[in-house]
Amino acid sequence: MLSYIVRRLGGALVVLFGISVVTFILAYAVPSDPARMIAGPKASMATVLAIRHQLGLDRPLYVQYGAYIWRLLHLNLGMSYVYNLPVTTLIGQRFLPTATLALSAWIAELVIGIPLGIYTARRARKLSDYIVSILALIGISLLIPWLGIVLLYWLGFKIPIFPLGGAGGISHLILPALTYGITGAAAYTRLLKSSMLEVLKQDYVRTARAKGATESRVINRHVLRNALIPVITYGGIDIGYLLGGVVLLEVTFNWNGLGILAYNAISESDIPVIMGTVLLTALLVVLFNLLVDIVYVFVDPRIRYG
Amino acid sequence: MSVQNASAAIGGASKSQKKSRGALFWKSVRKFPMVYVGGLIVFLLVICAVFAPVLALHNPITQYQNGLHMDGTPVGPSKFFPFGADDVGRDVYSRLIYGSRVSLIVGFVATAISLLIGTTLGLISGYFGGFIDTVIMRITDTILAFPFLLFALALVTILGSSLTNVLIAIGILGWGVMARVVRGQVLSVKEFEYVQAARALGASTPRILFRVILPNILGPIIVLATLAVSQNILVEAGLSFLGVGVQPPTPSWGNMIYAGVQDYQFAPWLMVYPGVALLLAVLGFNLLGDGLRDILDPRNATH
Amino acid sequence: MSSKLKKSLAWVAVTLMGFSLAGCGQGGGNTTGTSTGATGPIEGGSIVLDTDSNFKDFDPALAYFTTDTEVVPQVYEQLVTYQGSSTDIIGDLAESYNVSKDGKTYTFHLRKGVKFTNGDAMTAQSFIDEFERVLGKGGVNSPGEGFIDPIVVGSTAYHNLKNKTGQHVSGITAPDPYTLKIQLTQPEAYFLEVMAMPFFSAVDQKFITKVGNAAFDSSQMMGTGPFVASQINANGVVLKKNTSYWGKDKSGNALPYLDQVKIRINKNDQVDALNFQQGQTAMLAWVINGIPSASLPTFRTNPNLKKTIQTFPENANYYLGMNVKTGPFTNQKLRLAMEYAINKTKLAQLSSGKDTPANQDIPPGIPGYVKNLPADVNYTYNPAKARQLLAEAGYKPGQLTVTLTSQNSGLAPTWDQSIQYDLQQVGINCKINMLNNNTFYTEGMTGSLTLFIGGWYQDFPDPYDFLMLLETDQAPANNMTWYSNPQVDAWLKQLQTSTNPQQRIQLSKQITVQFLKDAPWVPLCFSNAVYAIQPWVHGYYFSPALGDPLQYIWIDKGHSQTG
Repeated sequence: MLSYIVRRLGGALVVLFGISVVTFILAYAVPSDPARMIAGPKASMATVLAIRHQLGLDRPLYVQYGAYIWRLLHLNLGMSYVYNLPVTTLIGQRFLPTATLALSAWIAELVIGIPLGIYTARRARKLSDYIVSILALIGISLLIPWLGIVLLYWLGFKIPIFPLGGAGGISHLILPALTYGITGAAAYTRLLKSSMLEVLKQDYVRTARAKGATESRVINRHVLRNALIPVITYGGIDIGYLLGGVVLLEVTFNWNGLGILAYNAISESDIPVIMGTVLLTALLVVLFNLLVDIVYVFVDPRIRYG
Repeated sequence: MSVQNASAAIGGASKSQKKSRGALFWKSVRKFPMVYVGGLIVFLLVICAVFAPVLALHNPITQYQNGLHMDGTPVGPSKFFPFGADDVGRDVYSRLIYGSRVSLIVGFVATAISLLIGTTLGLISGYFGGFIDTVIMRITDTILAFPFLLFALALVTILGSSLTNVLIAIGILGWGVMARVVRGQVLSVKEFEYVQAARALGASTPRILFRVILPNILGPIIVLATLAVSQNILVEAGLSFLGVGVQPPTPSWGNMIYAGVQDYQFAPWLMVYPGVALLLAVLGFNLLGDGLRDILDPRNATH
Repeated sequence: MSSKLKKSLAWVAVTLMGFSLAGCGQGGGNTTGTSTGATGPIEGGSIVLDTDSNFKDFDPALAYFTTDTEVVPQVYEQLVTYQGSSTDIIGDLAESYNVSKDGKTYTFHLRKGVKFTNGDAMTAQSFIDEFERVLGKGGVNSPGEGFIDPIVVGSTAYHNLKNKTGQHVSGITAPDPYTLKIQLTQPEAYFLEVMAMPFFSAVDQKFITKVGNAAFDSSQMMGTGPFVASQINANGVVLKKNTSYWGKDKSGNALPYLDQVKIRINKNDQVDALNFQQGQTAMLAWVINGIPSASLPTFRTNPNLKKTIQTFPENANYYLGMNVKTGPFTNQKLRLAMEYAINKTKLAQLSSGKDTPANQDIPPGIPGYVKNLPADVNYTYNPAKARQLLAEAGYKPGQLTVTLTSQNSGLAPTWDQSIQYDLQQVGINCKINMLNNNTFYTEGMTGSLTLFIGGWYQDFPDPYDFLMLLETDQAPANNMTWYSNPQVDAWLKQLQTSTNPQQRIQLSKQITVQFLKDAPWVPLCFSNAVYAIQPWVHGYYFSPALGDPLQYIWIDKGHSQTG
């Protein structure tokens, strides 16, 4: 088991290396000149060249990559060209808001997706199963900003129940979370449904029924408990992706988080910030995948770690 | 036995068996009505795209002076503009019809690119195993670690906003899941007798990969591809919403929504119609993919 | 090119305006605009504003972007400033000033007893430090550098010094702590307007040294102004009243009236407009570039909202630039075809009336605007004539394909499409290339764009500010078309140094007519500021070059907002 974990960690390190290379290439390919950006439009070419030298942009690519990795190892993501602040500070300011948003969005997915999954599994192949399944699929087929703006306009402006976007407390979280929940719930519904149908066929369920257990007891005690395992796995991976996946949600709802930071950085060619945010979100995905894998080793004895 | 014959044998089925398999397929289609609905929507979408010039009322890029009020706002739905005019006076209905082309091109071409990369890498990785497998899978993990939309956004920004670049970005970023699934499937079929037989008969490796293994794992690939089409159509719209998608005047539902969001308060038709069209198209592919998955799922065969 | 573009286009500019040495400062604001109410200003209360852009720089030596220029002049003050909405210059931190007969020496007498909010005293050194920072002290790369280099004696030498420690600009001296003397290499009619720019604010070098340049620019503001920045973060900026501010209004009441101004960053400007409609914000003004174009129809049709609209001419232009050095537009006949091909009325219509069609470089609010252009250079929309000129230029319809480059914000995407369609109608194929602001400038300022939508927002109300865009020396950074005409250059030189208003207007006209003949631009539109101000907000006026006059604003009781 230990060797499995060690190998899994090794794999994750290789992936991290890959991520750093891709991020570096990405930044290198950005078409605007960072030195000119810092110097401003009126600066002379000499000033621009001096800044280029200062930033090390005139050195060979592999040297620049080496310097980049060296800085990364010291948790130094560089200075933003636009804000004149360390990237770590910018990310630090926005990490919590984005994590809050991502978590709420995730909870909304579960709150909508899981009951629907149970419902459709119990009604499998009945008309109500089809209706609910289609509704869930409609949800997953909606464009997040489209749904978000419709909700904002009707529930924020016409009938002003919720605030018109912006970061804040629970009331600010409801509409974005709802939007994400509606567009993401179908995956959970689908997964839970098929895994419940699988479990319902198992002998121990039949036995429980034969023993005269009530239907709700069968579902709660026997079926759900087992059927939820793949859902939890998927959920773990899903939340890893969410931090980088809420860009559209943040832009739509004016939620000043990592997504907007990254989006602005891309449109302003603020290279250190692009690198920092992309790197961080990718890192979190790797981390959550690793966690899920390791937890699995302890939870599910059927996994081979050869 | 020549290799030719062997591959016929590898298909594993006589003609009569094939027929019954086909019959079984149609029987299950009847059991899964949602696939019909999905298929119908996709069919209509293709009709729209192919016959756009016939179905559209006007040229989608003509800017009509009577499409704008004096104050510069677009006119609403009328006989001349069934779905209203857009912010420069073009016919929304005709743009909607032509917009289906972009969605389908993005859906199909980007998916095809991902499919080509993902399937090839998945086949190689699963078949050869060992070091090659490890290398390919680590590359796959790397590509999967990046948040898709954010990365596509960065890539399109660097390459420049155009339909081609959107296709390239979505295509070369979307193959991770495909590679993983294909690899898994290859692992499960590569020890089967017909693969062993082909190998024993001296079939070349590419032949085994593409003529023997691939046909036998097509089911899950088709399901995955169908769902990827719906996903990619949404990603294009998302990119357009962030301002880097298909460039005007070419209509795409994504850039129509992007332009329409601004005017939602006084010209809701600009956003509502393309939004609904997008919803229907994506729903169509989702229903189709989901339905096919149910049909192809062996667990459902017993029902 | 939304208003956003226009302000970010305001890279450089200069003004002449003659010597309007309008007496000395009374420190009072001209509170026209909204009704002042019978009771007079009410002290206290807070307001909330939304902006759709991020703040970039808070260091006065660096801030040159719309959003930043809302905040920086509230916290930092200059030697002189504009009197209310007029273009008259009055003293600010300088109580009075005089100019030598030869126009080359400026002496400013500073207000005594003014303190920075940390308690340090403001002296002539506070300005000397800032001048040196603008010229590059401590590694600052200020966009304001070109405004004082080379006109101030010794500025170039200082700027070029590798090691500036212990060195000074020979032309800037302080005979005593409250007197600042600046010597120029030649007379410059618009030097006082330059001194009114926030680049040249009083700063506390001791404080800057303590916190460092980076923090000074991003999170630590500290000046002498009416407000202090109490909170700067990802969600916006909170300005709180500087309780020990020196300034008073005409009746002797302490300024500012408001306790707090909160500026929130809300990227979606449609939502910002909805917030205003719900009464959650006080104004849609400078910091958000007015009412978003897409919301204008709603504001114009709703009777309650209509009452909140105020329109001010903005002294800004948009033009279609054509590269006269390389590519198809080296052909003058083709450029003339372009002049007739573009439907400017439609562009104005698409802006929902925010912009008006333009026929020249200088906006109507600036002296030197030519009211009656000679008919042969007063180009109007005429597709038939454009087609004919295209043929004369040697092109068959559909033969030529050009790429139109613009920024991807605001109205630009809509204008792009309208221009693209106009060109197609006369037989020129047009591809659209939308770039983000930084990429646009990286490419534009190296002069590599063939056809682009440019714009200029005044720094001062003066013809030179606009016409200098045509100078050979300004290519390619500001003159992105590479336009070059020795005759125009000579006239421009005269325009820059002359102090005779009549002669300057004559020169402006000559330059305007000649450049329209050469046709490196298709002038597109002049723009207006269309703002919305809640009826309970008083004291607002439109400053010609500085952001919203927050220190003169007061609100009715019961409307305090905290967002």
